[in-house]
Amino acid sequence: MFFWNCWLRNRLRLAAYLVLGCALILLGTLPVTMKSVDGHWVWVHPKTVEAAVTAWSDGVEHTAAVMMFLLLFAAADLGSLGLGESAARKEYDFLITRPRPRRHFVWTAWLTGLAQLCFVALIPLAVALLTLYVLTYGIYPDRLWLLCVGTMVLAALVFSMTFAMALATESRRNGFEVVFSLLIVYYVTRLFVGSSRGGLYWFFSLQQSPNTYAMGAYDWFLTAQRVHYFVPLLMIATTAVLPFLAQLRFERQDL
Amino acid sequence: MYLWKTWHDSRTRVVVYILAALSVGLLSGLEVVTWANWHTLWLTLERPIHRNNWDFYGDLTFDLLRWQVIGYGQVAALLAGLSLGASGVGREYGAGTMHFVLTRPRARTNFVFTDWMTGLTAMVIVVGALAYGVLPFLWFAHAQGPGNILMGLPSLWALGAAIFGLASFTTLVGGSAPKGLVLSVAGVLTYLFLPAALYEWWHMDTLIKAQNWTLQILSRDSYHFHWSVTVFWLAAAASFLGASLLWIKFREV
Repeated sequence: MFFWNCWLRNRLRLAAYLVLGCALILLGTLPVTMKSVDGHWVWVHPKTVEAAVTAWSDGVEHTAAVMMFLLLFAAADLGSLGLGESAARKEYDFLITRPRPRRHFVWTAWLTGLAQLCFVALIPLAVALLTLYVLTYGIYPDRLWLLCVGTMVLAALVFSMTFAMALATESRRNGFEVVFSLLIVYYVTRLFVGSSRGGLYWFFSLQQSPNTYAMGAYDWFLTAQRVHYFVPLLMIATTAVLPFLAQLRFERQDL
Repeated sequence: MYLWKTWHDSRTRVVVYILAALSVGLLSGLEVVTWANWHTLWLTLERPIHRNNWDFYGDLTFDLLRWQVIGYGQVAALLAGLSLGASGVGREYGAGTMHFVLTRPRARTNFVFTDWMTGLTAMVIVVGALAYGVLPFLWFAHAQGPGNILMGLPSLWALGAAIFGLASFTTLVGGSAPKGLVLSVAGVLTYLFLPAALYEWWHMDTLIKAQNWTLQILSRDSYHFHWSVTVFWLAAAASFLGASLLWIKFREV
């Protein structure tokens, strides 16, 4: 029952993200087979496999960039709409009259948000694959799956962080702000500290991934520095642990 | 009275941001001076008879500090503008207190002006705190005068005012602080990345040229005050103020 409550509360937002995601994916994938002919940009069907592979390579990069921004933004928004929003709406008093343990509400809200995030990831991805297939009559995904998994891991982490922060601060806005600030601080610190030395040098100084957008956000997944292979696993572990912390907080909350 | 309420609602956030900005300014100043000191000492060992090493030290410190102020200043303007803007009068709808606010014997526009006055003052102090943090290091390094660093501040303030205006307006339209915050973040992201995407993918350069012109205040290579761009951002802020006044004036309740 609480699942449907969470699902219905976010359904319009989910539809908006899906429409926006599909539009952005089309914006990114449609021009991959465009060529300049007599000073005009026109669509040219690739005549060789090499040309199709090049088109797919560009399409994969564009798709990854779009998915990165779409999913991170949607993750922060959907995460903050979990139980943190229920606190803002003063629904806790009603919720805990239901014959369910408190952890049920935490995990249901978390799983619903994650399921919606998966929708936001899968449908635009399917549109990207379909568009690229129609443009090239072939499927050459290369590192598409790796980039998509990387994006999804990052998005799930941001989702869990926002979910936990919104619950901890009992405010959707505060949760969103804290995570947004942390992300900005991380990337700005990378820009400014990345070239210097220090105790956290390893955390800020990854080799830049070649041919990717999003300010090296995929470095953790594409880097040749093998010492960092554990970081994606650490991200997944953190994503799973944060709802437990949120559960602990919610169970000890004086309501 | 509403002025006090606005301050009361946002004071924790403002104090945290001021302390964070001051700390970042001091830490970055310390880092720059230390790095420039070692670099110049190394240079002196390598070419000891060169007379301009310590002039170089002053210039290097000045450049690095200026970059720090611009680099961190844009982030401070963004965060302070978004966060304080989302604390605008629109949040009263989400909190269910707008009905009470409107029973006060004041014109509706008065609440918007009060919010803007409090929010913009806080934003100016937060962004300025970054520059105040690095000023002592200019003196320490015998670098160029503080006027050269402070020259970049009005542009950052104007940029922050425009972002504040956007967040304040979207909060009023959305009727809640989180909705306003999400909408304004989406607006900022679109402004930053759509022109680049259209240029890179669709080979359309009109938007990116316009974007580059408006963001030249953040360029590392510009050493003069950008009057036209500053006026542009102030005009954008004024437009959001005008739109907010119209919105609250004609909105039911």
